[in-house]
Amino acid sequence: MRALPLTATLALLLAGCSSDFVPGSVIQDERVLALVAAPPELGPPTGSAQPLSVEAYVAAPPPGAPLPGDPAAPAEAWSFCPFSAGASAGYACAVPACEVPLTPAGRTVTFDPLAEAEACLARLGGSLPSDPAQAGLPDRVEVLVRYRLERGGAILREAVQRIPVWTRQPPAGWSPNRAPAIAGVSIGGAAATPCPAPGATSTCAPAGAVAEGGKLAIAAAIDPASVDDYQDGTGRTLRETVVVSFFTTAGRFTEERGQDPVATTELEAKELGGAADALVWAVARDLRGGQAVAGPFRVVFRAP
Amino acid sequence: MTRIVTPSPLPLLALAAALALSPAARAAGPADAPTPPATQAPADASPPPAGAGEPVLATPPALRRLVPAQLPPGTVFPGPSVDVVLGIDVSETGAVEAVRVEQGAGEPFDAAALEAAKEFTFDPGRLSTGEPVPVTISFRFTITAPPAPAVLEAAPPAPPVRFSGRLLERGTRRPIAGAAVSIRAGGEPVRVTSGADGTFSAEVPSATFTVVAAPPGHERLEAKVEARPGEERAETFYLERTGTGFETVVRAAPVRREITRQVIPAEEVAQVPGSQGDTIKAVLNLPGAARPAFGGGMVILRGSAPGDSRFFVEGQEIPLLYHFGGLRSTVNPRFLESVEFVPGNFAPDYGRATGGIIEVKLRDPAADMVRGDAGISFYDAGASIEGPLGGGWSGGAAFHRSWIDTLLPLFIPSDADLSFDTAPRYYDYQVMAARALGDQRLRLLWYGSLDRIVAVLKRPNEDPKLSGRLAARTMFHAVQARLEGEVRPGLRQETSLQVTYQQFRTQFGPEFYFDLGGVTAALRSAWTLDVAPGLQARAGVDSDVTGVRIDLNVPQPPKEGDVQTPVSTTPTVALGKSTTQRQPGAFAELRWEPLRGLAILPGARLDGYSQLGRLTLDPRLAVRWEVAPDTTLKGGVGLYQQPPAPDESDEAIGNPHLRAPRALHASVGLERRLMQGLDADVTGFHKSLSRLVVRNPANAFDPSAPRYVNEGTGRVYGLEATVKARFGERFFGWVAYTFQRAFRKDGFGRPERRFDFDQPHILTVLGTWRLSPAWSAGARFRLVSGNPDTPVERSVLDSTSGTFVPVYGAVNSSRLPAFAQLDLRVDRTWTYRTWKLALYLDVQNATNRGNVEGYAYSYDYARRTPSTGLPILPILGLDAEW
Repeated sequence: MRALPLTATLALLLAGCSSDFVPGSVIQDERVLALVAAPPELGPPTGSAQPLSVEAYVAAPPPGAPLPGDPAAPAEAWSFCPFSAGASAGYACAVPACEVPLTPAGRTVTFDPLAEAEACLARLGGSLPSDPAQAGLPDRVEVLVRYRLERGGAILREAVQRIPVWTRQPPAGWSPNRAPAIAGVSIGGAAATPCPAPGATSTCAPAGAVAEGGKLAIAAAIDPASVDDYQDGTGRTLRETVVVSFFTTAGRFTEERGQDPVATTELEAKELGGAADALVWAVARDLRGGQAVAGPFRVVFRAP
Repeated sequence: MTRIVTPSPLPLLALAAALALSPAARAAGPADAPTPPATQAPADASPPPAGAGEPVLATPPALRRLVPAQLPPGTVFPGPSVDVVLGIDVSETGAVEAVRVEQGAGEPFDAAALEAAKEFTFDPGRLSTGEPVPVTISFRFTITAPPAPAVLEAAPPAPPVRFSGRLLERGTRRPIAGAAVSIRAGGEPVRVTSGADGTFSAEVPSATFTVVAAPPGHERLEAKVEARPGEERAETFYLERTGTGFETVVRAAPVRREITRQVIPAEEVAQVPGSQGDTIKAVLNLPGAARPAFGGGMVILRGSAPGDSRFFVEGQEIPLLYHFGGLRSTVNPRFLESVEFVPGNFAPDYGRATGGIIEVKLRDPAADMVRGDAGISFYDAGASIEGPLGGGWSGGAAFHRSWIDTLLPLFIPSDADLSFDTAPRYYDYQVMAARALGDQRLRLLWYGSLDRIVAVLKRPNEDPKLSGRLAARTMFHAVQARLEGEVRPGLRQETSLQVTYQQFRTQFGPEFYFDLGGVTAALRSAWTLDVAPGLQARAGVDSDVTGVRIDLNVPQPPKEGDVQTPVSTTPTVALGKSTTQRQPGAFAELRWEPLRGLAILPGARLDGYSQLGRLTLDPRLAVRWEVAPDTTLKGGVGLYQQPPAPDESDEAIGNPHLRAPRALHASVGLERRLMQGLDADVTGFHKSLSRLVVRNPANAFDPSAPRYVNEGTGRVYGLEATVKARFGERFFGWVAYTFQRAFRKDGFGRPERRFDFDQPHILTVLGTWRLSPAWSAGARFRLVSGNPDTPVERSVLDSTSGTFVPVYGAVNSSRLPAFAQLDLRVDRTWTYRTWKLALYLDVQNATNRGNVEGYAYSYDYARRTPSTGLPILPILGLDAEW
């Protein structure tokens, strides 16, 4: 019997130590904020279609995220892979022949993952097992939806959404995971209204203002009714932890993340790089696949 | 035959001393040293150095019984005394085996000295491993003319003083035995010799007299005593140790069963810079040991993964060798006798490991008097006590506790995201008792260790599942009973039983936990029989049974060669079970010496693994051939197998059909004494690894396929060269260079890659100089190839967790910059009558070099900056010993 090293835990503690890099919460180029899947997880095969839609939320510095079809906008590519090689392989598709392109409508794709998986297996001469338990399959597997932003053939950004799929009937008491809901965002203590559309961000009404050198309080409230209980791999019932990530196109956050019920931070009007305003987003994740995006909210910087 | 060096500050001085002075002349005390009637100047020996990889002489023979020379009546002395220098062979039992005159004084003195010396008895000389060995000493026998009757008649009529004295070493209170003492009272001096406990007594005809003694290796005593006539007077004299200048020869090396076995006496490396007196840390400076990553605390021997090597305390496995990150070993150095370091080709006594072994040897607690020590350093403090318990027992106890938990909060701002509920802390303890049972030696040992930390991450990290409470506690408590000794002439046994309770508990975030608790009972018994001249057989059992309860829900455990990914994106494994695991083992070995100096050791080991339902058989062979008096050729080949890691062979989260990973070790080398005090050892080695457990890529698209398979292979080759120097008590050090390459293949058809710790060049130069009895200084310089590194090519956002996942290039295809570090240490010792106080300053990374230990990346891995190890770090420590 050999002990596991404590140093692994200590190393984890030290992970994320600060450096001089620009924080990840500051958006300086095109950035995929989230791939929001609906529903976040799929039940077992039922013989009927289980459509899945995934929407990409893309942010960029003002004048705002370029829209699809805009000549300045990078090309977008969607694909689906039923067999992920996992994070250690950079989420490559374990069977590249099974990675199929998806056709979006705007920034959303809608398709039937189980049908695509069956089609892939059929191409390989196989099929989904009729009795997953007997075939030795685990209760759940993950399939991948991939989204890429490309310019000149080079990948600018790549994001994947892992979709859990039940291979067999879930245990009694199971309820499908729901995406967390952001009940509201307040900026400077007042309820904030997001800009109406990605292309109109530079003209939308400011949700808040802050003098250069000052700080502006921002809070994102999570709807408690959207926070689910779930069973982990050992059968324990746990309550989701909803993590909220904040993003801005200018300035710096005092905290880049918070968690439910109300995630808070402050936007410091510093290191603005000449920006007169900033766009701010809040992205909530339940870390099980459920996501929600609020924003962008326009914040104006005033002279001190 | 192995010669032990003449102590001298420098090699040239040592050589000059050897040429200019005969052993006898060096054995003698100062010219005016008093000599007792019909007695001797004491035999002595230098504290020995490591000799060509052999265990070294830790304790020279000590005279237990002195027999006066019997001269024919009427012998006429040419002077007040005569000296006869004898060469005495002392057996491993302390008996005198042979005596010869090395420098005679003529008859009848030579014959009388020879006859008397045959009746001497000694406490045997002992190696650093504790084994008694036959030793040859040079012995100066001083025969003094009996006092002339006229002198006695001239003595004053006043009643004599009945004087008893005791000679003790200053600071340590160790008795100075066999010292010639002269008591001068105006007339002919009274001459006596101190006994084994350092005492002497005499009737002195004068009330005022001077006690003079000059025991070799100690300062000269000249003390005036004023007593009343007829008084019974007792005095204790404390003499400071000054070093010795004698030669001792170990005539028979102990049985060597490994090709490379470095034995490091505890005292020898106590002052190595960077080790803070921790001998078990110091062994990582030996060739064959790779430099662990910063804060790793791992032992990587000859290209084997850290989990492939095993660590023992007196033959029984210790679950945890080092506290947090290798900061300190879990065994207090106070009771250490030596550390044995075998990086490969180890004897069949040991199994279930494909790497190497480190064995900690303990000494018995002091039986002569109560002793103790206490020490404090920058990060921990400890104390120990030992002494006689009565009934033939001696006992001791030692304790260490870190106080990082007191200091660390001072450096963490209150508004930091990380706070500690329990700052990192560790304890370890040892309680020991020993006694002789006839020809057997019984030792009871209770030891254990605890490391604990509880931290709170106030906000979600970039890796969001790492948040909230992060707690870890690992501990073990073990009770060991060991009986060893000679059963009958030619038959020796060593048997030990250890029961160990081990617990490992960790929790990070609300989701992940790992709880393991279990009890292991382990039995080891080895019997050695002298079958015939030149033929020795050894056989034994080495078995254990473990009952364990394990509950876990953790990210999939990382394996050698794995790239690092965020915890939030790593698949989890969950398990809850109780299980019992049996690992019976047996071993046998012959030692056959067909020619003088040639030893052939064929052996084999059989192991069973209940978790695999399999048996493994490991044949092994070692050969040592002393081709010249100071030159030994050596070679060996053997098969080594070990069980897969518990998670790999578990039926729920691994593959119970795995086989035992194995390694074929081969090595060949040469040991040579270059000159007295200078020994060289060069060993080339090759390891072929097969059946390594690797992840099954088919599991990615077929979850019903086993997670792990035995399809990994590897190869390791290299050359280790060491030159060790020991020049008396003045200098000790070594130069160790290792060239080694280590590669792995993670499955059939997969490309070969570098091993995680493939370090082609490892150079360590270290030395400690004793400048004076009060001052010593040391330095260590290390120059090591950087560890392999896997480049990051781009990243992918895992939208589920919101973390960026690096997309890596070929595993270990790049390399970190070379590591270079200079460590310095200065010791100042104050020696008082009954205790010593030592202050040391250990400066790590004295040049403040920023050694790159890895890289820190921007959130999306687009930019990176080097992460460097510790800057210059002065560590101040204080030790008191009494």
